[in-house]
Parts: sequence; C-alpha cells; structure tokens
Amino acid sequence: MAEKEEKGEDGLVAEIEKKITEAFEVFDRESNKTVDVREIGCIVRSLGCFPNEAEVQELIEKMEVEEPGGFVHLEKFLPVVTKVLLDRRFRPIPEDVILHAFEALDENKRGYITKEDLVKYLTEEGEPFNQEEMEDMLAIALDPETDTLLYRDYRKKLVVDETKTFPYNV
Amino acid sequence: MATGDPAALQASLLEQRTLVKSMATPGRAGIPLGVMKVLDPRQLKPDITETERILTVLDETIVKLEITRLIPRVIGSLERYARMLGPEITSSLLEHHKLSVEIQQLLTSPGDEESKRAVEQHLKCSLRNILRLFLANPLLYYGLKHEVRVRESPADVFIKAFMEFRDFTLERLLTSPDEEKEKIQFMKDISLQVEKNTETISALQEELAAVIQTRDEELKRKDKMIENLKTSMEDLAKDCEAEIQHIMEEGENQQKEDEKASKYRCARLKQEVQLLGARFNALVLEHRASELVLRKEKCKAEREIQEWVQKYDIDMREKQATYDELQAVYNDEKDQLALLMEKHALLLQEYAEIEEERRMLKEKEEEAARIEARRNDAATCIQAFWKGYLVRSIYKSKLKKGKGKGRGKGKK
Repeated sequence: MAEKEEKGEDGLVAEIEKKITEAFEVFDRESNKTVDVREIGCIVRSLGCFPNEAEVQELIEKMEVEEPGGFVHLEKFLPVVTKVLLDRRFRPIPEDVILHAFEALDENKRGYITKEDLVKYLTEEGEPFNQEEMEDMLAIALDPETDTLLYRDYRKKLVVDETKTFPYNV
Repeated sequence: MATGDPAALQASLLEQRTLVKSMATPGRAGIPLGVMKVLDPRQLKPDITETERILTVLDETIVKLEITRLIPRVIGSLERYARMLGPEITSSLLEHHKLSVEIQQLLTSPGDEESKRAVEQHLKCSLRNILRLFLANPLLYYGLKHEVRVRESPADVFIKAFMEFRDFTLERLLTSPDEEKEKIQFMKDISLQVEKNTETISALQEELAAVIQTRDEELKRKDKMIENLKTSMEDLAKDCEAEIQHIMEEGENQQKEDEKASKYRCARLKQEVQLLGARFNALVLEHRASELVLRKEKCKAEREIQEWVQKYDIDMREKQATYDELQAVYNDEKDQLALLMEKHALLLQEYAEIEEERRMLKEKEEEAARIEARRNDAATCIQAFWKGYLVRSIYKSKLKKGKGKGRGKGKK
C-alpha cells in the first residue's frame, strides 16, 4: 500500500488503468477489446463500486454506445471508469445506510422482513429485480427456519471487506 | 513834540527821577566818598579851625539877616512887643523907623546924592546898633522868632540863597582836588545820562507823536468810512424804496394780467360747462332710451327664467319620483343582499371545512408518497448493494487469481 502511494498520481492512474483493463478482459469473451453493454454494470461492480441501475445507465451514456444492445470498446470504457475511480464515486454503501434501508421496509420495526414483503418491495419498487435475481437473493438472504430476512444479522454478511477490495484500499 | 501835552511831559520827568534814584541806590559802592558827601550835606562837619571860623562868620551873618527880616514887622506893632524888647531896643527901633521912612522919601523923590548917602550911613549904623543889641540877648531873638509871623518876602529868598551859599562854601572847603575831579566826572556822567535820557525822551515823544498821528489818521479814515457807510445806507434805503415801488407796480400789473386771464378762463369754462351740460342732457336722453330697451330685455329674460324654473320644478318632481322608486328598489335589493350575504357566510364556512379536508387528504397523499419514495430509495439501495455483492462474489476468483475461492462462487 505504502509502495503504491509513493508512486504519485501518474503511477496511480497507470495502476488503476491496468486494473480496469484486467477487469474488462474478464468480460471480453471474444478477446477483441469489446464487451456487451449489458456487462458494463458487472465490470464496474467487480471493481468494488456500488452504482444503482440508473447510475450504470448514466455511465453507458458517457461511453457513447452507438446502438442499444451493442458492444463497448475498451478505449471508450477506460477513461470513463478511470474518472469514476479517481473521483471515488459509488463507494461501498456503509452498514448504517443499509440498516436504514431495511428499516424503511420494515414498517412495524420488528427487526425482520417477511419473504412476501421482500419479494413485493424488491420486484415492485426501485429498480425491480427480475424473477431470477429475486430468487438468487432469497436463496442466500432468507433464514431457512423462519422464512424471513433477519436484516440485522444479514447485512453483516453482505458487507464487503473494504480493505481487501480494490481500488478503495488505494 | 514841543507842543506835547503836559501829562506826557510830567511822565517823562518822573521817569527821569526814578532813573537817577535807581542809579544812586544800587550803585552806592561805585560812587566816590566825596560825591556821597555832596549828595548828603548832613554828613558835612567842619574839621579844621580855619574852616570853623569861616563858618561861624557865615552862620552869624545868617542870624543877623533873619533878625533884619524881623525888624520891619516888629516896628509895625511896636507897642505890642515894647515890654518884651525893653526901652533901649525900642528907642533904637523907633529911630531906625524914622530913618527908613526918610530914606524912602528920598528914594521916591530925586534929591541930592550927598544927603542920601548920609542917611544911608545913618541907617547902616542904626541897623548895626540894633543887631548888636539883639545879639547881646540871644533869648530875645529866639522868642521873637517864634512870636513873630513874617509874611513871605524877597528877604526870605535872599536868606535861603545865602544859606545855600553857606553850604556850598562848606562843601568847597571840605572837598579835596581829587574829590573835585571825581565830582566833575560824576557830574559829567550825570549830564551825559541826562542828555541820553533827553534823547530817549525826545525819541519817545517822536514815537508818541507818530502814534498819535497814526491814530488821528485812523480816526479820520474811520470817520470817512462811517460817512461812506451812512451815505450807502441812505442810498440803500432809497434803492429799497424804489425797489419796493417797482415790485408793487409789477405786482399790480401781474394782478391785472392774472385777473384778465382768469376772467377769460372763467368765460371759457362757463362755455364749456354749458357745452357739457348740453352733452350731458343728450346722453341722459340716449341712456334713457337704451335703459328702456334694456328693461324690456330684462322683463323678457325674467319671464324666460320663470318658465325655466317651472320647467325645472316639473323635472325635479319627476326625478324625485324616479328616485323614490329607485330607492324602494334599492332597499329591496339591499335586503336581498343581506340575505345572500348570510348564505354566503354559511357557504364560506362550508368551503373552509372542505378546503381543510382536502388539505389533510393532500398531506396524507404526500406522506404516502414520501413513504413510497423512501421505500423506493431503500429498495434501490438494497438492490444496488445486492448486485455489487453478487458480482464481486462471482468474479472475485477471476480477478484475484490464486487468492482463494470467493464465497459467492461457493454458494452458486
């Protein structure tokens, strides 16, 4: 870490670009420096960012994709995401914010959310999950015994260890 | 000058005297002793025997002279003094009287010289005899001297002169040659002084004369001036009279002229007055005519006004009726309005209640929307978080090769 700090801004930018390129290449299935537009969100999230869908759409607009459902070239992708990382946008959502969010859904402040409520809220509100996403989440988040989400415990499981996640340990 | 008035002369003499005195008094030290003696005879005293004798002779002579002077008087009233004189002297005196009468006769009538001289000789002898008798009795002499009052006579003058001579002789006898010289010098000085004084006097007199002359001239001049002034005054008076006469005449002339002018003016003014009177009458006539016309016009106007007033009254009555009607309608409407206002108030209240209800509903809606938004945000948050978590779980291993398997992958 100390080594990285000493490298200065140019070095930092080069490092970030390298990391971005690596992440990009994971999704470059045809190895021609392009990725599917639908993968952009995944790539950004794999870099430790937590944007919502609207913010991902905003980034895609900046990358000037010519046709919807097309491909994005690395040259377009790199400067936009580099700027995002240098500005430290979409930082990991802190625990207390997550807690507040769950509490907002827990109308009776019971400390848990029933499966029905969770499905209702997450598939109808905000940026609704599709069936697949919903099921993925239910599979991991629900307490098998009560069939409810005990969010006070659960949120701890979901918090990513920031110190190990690039680039927020920069 | 020579004809100068005696007062002036006396004044000058007085001046002279004071001059001498002033010279004598302060200059006493400067004046020689001899001169002093001259000036003051009382200091003279015989100091030599010879001188003394001479003086004795002279004194005796004086006494004799005085007695001689007394003799005619005594003879005049011999009976009165006879007892005092005694028989011897009385007889001598009688004889002497006889002789003196005789010689007077001889002197008045020219006779022979011989007898005259003889009588004279007799008279001398008789006188000597009488004198001897008197000198023998000095007391008698002094008594007579006091008793007998002698009138002033040429004899007194002589005696006085003789006494002066005696003093003079004494002086001469006492004066030494040096003193004599000094005296002469002094006298010379004095005479010089006198001369000088005389000159001064003459000069002063001349001056005086000149002053007098000037004064006379001045006087004459003044007289002349007075004369002139008198003449001029007379002239003035005369001129004045003439002037007054002239002015009076002029004034009369002026008055006459003025009278004439004023008469003329009066006549003219009268004429004018007549003219104006005529014009005035004409104007009065004219104005009366116009007045008549105006009166007619006024009557007409009044009539018109009367008509108008009547018309106005009718109008006003109509309007009043209309107004009353309108007022009644207005009152009706007012009542209606009051009724409506009541209703309106009621409706307003209802409206307010409804409004309040609506507001509350809106608030509720807003609250619901807020909750909805909050839930939405919360869902978005959770969704984003979930997606991030999922992606990292899946791709951790791919990104960090050789760093152990991610939980996400294991769960998948």
